[in-house]
Amino acid sequence: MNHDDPKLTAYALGELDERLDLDSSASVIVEETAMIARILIRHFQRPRRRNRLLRYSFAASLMFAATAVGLFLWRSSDRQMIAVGPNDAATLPVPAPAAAILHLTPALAESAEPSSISNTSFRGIRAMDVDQLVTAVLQDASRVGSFRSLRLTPESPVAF
Amino acid sequence: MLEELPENQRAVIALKFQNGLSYKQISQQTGLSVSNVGFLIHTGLKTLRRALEVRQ
Repeated sequence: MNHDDPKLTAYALGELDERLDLDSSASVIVEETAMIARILIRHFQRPRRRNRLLRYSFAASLMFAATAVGLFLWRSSDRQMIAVGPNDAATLPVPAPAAAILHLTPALAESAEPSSISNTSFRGIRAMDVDQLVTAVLQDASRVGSFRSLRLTPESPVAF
Repeated sequence: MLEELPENQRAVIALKFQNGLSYKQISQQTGLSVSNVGFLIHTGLKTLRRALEVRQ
């Protein structure tokens, strides 16, 4: 068999349907040709893999950058809100203390002890007064053991 | 090594091993005859085999 026959190469590459009777040196040539074919296939696949890796790393970098920018913007807006806060607070009008709405002298129905409300001084600031009232009521209730016995009466008639 | 091959051999080798085309498909794509495709691939691979032998 002619060892320089393109038919041998075609056989090595699986292009021939027929089966060839090969002597030992022809078999070596077929084997070497098949090996070179494998090397070439690997050679041509390598850039593709490299390109794919490059694309993935580029996409990952983009996602990382977008996340970093998003975080930065989010934190910046957060700081801005914090920075604006004190300025707004400084310009907010502070309510002047007003006169107390109610002067209550509570009486504990089933106890001779004075109510805690007697010792509470209301300042006329509603939020604080309500807070103090609730505290005093809770103190009385805990002493008496029930809210039922607590009765609040106006210190002086309230004019509406 | 591939760069040392003539352009026509390189082209058919790329179609065969990069694109995975058969001799017949390469023939249809290039307009060359199937036997001509086989000859170009055979010659190109022979050159590469010899170059590898020299290197080893």
